[in-house]
Amino acid sequence: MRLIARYTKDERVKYISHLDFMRLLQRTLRRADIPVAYSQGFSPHPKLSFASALAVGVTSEGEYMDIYLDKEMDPKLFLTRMNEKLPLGIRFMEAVTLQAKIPSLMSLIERAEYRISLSHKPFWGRNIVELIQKFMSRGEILFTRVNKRGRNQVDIRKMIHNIRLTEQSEEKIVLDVVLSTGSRANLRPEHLIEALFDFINVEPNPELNLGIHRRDLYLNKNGAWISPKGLGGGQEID
Amino acid sequence: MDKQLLDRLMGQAEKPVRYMGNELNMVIKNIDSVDIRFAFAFPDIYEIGMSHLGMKIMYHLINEREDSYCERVFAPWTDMEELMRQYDIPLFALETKDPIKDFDIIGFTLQYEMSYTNILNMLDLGQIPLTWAQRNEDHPLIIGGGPCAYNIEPMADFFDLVVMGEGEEVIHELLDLYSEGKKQGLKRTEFLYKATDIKGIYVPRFYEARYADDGRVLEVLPVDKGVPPVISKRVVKNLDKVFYPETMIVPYMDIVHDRIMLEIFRGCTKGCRFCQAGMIYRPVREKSPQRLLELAEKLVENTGYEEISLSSLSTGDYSQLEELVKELMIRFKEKRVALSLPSLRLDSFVKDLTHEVQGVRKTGLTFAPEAGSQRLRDVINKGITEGDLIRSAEDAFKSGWTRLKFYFMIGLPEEREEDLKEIGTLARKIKDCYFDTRKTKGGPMPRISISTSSFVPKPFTPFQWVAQSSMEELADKQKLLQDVLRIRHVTYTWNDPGASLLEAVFARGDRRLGKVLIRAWQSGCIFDGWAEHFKFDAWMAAFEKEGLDPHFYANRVRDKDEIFPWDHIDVKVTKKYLWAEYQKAVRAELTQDCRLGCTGCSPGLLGEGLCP
Repeated sequence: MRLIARYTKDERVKYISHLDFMRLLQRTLRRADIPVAYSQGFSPHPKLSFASALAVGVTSEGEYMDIYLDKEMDPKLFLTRMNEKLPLGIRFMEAVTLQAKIPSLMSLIERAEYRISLSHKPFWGRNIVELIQKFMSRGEILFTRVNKRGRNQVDIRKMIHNIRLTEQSEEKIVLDVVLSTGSRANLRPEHLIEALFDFINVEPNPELNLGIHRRDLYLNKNGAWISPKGLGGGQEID
Repeated sequence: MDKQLLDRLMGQAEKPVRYMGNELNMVIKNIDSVDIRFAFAFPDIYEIGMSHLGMKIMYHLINEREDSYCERVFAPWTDMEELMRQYDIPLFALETKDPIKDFDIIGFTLQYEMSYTNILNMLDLGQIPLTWAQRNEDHPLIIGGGPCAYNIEPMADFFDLVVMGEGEEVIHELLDLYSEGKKQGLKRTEFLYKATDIKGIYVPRFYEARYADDGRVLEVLPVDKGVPPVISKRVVKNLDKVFYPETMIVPYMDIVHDRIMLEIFRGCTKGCRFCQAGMIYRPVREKSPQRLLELAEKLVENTGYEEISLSSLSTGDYSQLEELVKELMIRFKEKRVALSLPSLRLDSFVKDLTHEVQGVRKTGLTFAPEAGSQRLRDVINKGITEGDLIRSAEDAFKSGWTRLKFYFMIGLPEEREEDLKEIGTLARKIKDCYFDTRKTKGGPMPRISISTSSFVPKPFTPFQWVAQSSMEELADKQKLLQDVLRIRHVTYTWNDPGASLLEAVFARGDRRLGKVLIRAWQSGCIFDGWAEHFKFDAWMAAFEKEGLDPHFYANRVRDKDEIFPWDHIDVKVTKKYLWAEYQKAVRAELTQDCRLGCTGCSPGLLGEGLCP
């Protein structure tokens, strides 16, 4: 039996890395007595996967897990048992059964929506809506990624699908953004912030980034962007 | 303190989960409803501190009390420390993120000498004056415990109070007194004076040391008639009845020992003469299999851990090991909980057992013969023969292990060149044994690692009188072994003789060393146990500036009747017995395992009915 479940990760646990989160869930599944299916082979491991890795330091209300069980189980019972055993800061919100033939969520997800809070200070006195328009109207936005293999410059413009100012106060500004995520194209929200600061010639520092929150993930179904929340419950993907 | 800023700064550190807290089974209390705020401090990073069983016991034990809230604090890694200093964030406890300077009591565990500068650094980061002389009524009480507490003298300037021995009972007496004292408005010194009435409590400020012209200690005496001239260690009588946590914090990050630790017994009956733990934790006391199974069930249920390890000084010596291991494996097979047996001693390595253990999980196997030759193993009373060793290796190979690790010490008393060379001979025999044992050609190659540590003479052991080998001698011995161990499939690792010298100085040091510690810390010495941070030259400069000679402490032979800085502490093993053991060592005479018959180490323990 296959389930997909949505869960949240709040401030209290936002620094748990993806790998550590995987281990935490395995332990919780054991404590909650969930009949997880195990893979065959030399070192059997539980059959579960995540729709998308969440960066360290980011909170979320739109995380999804794909899990196979050995026995039938009411998704509601799955939720209750998991929530009884999870540490504070992580909660399973919904779970639905899903046909096994549907590809893994991980391979379907292409976009993520984030809510980014920034200090208002570096933007002070500017018209932020106009600023975003200018930022987005460029044909390409070059960003230098630094990783283990070295530095490489990429155009991130086509991975930014939307930026919208949703709140503005003396202390902070809040942006809702939609970015590419997944194996085909991936833009980390921190990198968008860096590119924005670069655009206004501000040196990024820990005091300016007030928090990143993932709101949901999206997959493309017949040209429309839908949340995995819309999966299951009788609905199927062809 | 700006907790939001702290939260963001964590995100800048290499591993933010070290500072985040909020793990499964972390205790949460309302700070307004408790009288005593206690910070259990481990002077190393999170992943090491969280692997420590003593901390788990004390944390949950103190939190059982309604009047107290015990939180945890660790040494931040250097990247986080830099951020904290830059943004003026004082050292905080993981549970509430409150500064530890606002706590009532900070309890450091003293596990190894090389963590001493970290203690100073944590106090400083906590914005707390280092010495008790500088602190006032508003500062937290700084207390300590653990194996190094038995010779706290080098740290005597920094601690208000130290607990000798096992903490489970004495902590309640201490916290009761503290709570009472707080209500009565007792001054710090009044409270400390009363605390000396509790058995096992040592308040360094009430004692004074006098020294001879040549630097030796003449005496350490109470400055007040009301405090005990000798402080005796505390011993828990019944291990089945004593508190043991039924839940443990499950860290998110990968820590050193990331599993359920089931303490099966305390103490050790082997009587290895170099081993301080074997002397200070006497007598042996076991938990019953029934109690252990009950604890294991609860711990698996409450933590969800996938592995249980049996913890003790010598797990193979547990009187009902086979029954226990079998029962544990049967009960947890369904839940896929594995069992690992650490610190297996060769002589108690049961063949059938390894077959079964292997069925669940196979990791590298570790052996500790400690010395290369039979004669030297007899000197240190490590009752293992070469036959035992080869047989164990053979069994391991037959059961499918290919990676074996062997621990040896160099610089042991009475050691000669041929003893070192025999380490090479042994390594060759073990390697040959692999190729003789394997059934078919091809397949994996064996990986035999030999590692040596430099012997550090420790107080309260039969070798407390001996001189440590000089750094030059140790380096020569390592060079010899590098030659001798140039063998295919064998790797050799060794450690820095400079670090061993310092360990030896502080293990048998006196109160004068406090000044050296401060000076070394001021010149940037922290995380001395970490090779990448160890600053030998800074240490030597600190000794020189304070006019103290490290070699006086480490490399000097003591007379039989020399007064030691720790002689006023009674660990319940007599100095007379230790000297007799030393003399037997010189003659390479064995002393039997005391499960086979009392060897007379402690009239005190016998008198109190603690030893069967």
